Amino acid sequence: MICQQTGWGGQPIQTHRKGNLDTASRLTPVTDSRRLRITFNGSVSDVLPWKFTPQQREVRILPGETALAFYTATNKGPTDIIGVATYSVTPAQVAPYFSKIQCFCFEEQKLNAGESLDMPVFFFIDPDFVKDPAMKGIDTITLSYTFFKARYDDNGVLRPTISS
Amino acid sequence: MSFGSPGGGAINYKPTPPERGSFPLDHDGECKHLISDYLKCLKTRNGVNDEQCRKLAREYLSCRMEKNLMAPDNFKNLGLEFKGDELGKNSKVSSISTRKDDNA
Repeated sequence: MICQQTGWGGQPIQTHRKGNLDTASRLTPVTDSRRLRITFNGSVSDVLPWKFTPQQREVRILPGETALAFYTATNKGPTDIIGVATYSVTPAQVAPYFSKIQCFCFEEQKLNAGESLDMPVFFFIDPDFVKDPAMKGIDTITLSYTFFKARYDDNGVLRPTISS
Repeated sequence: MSFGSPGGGAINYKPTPPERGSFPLDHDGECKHLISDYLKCLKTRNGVNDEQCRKLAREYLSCRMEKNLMAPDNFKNLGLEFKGDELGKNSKVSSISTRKDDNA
């Protein structure tokens, strides 16, 4: 399975190092830390007739502890539609510590008319989070995904459609 | 959204793609039954991602690997290795690269 390397708006994005050794050492839960509360938001653009909602209200994780979360996407429209998702993390300063191992974002996801699918996100908060004094007061982190309708432009680049 | 933020520092991190790219869609719901087990576990623990729930997460990802819905990998690289794995105590879930003889 080759992932598309095209990024948002056609700018190529380097995927992170696959670094198995690197990742494995970062994936050790920091057991003396408080648990961080991760909450989830889902939204869709106005022109996308999908329902898109998180399947869990929250997960409470230690930094360095990988976690799985799910969204459900339902295509309520009469035709098959390609969607593409992006995400944001709040508070914004946590973003560099939020690491996604695998999810459903950035690549096209085609839902057939009437189809409903589970969309997983597998992620962790980098253990370096606990070393950053600016992170001390942060206990709740919100992960928001938004789906846009997508199409391929004349250059074969996947682009979100904001208006029909 | 960093316009005019107090403190002057413009925090503007671009969203980045996931390390391993995108999960293929499970159109046939082949691993769907494991999702509800996992979510039930989280619910009973008020969202705390304890070892039991993490083991269920591992079951789900293991299912994906078996059904070609995820690139196979050692669960150590996914942060889902537990004490007792090497002793075969968690025999229900097997890591792909250390799979011994199983009678699946």
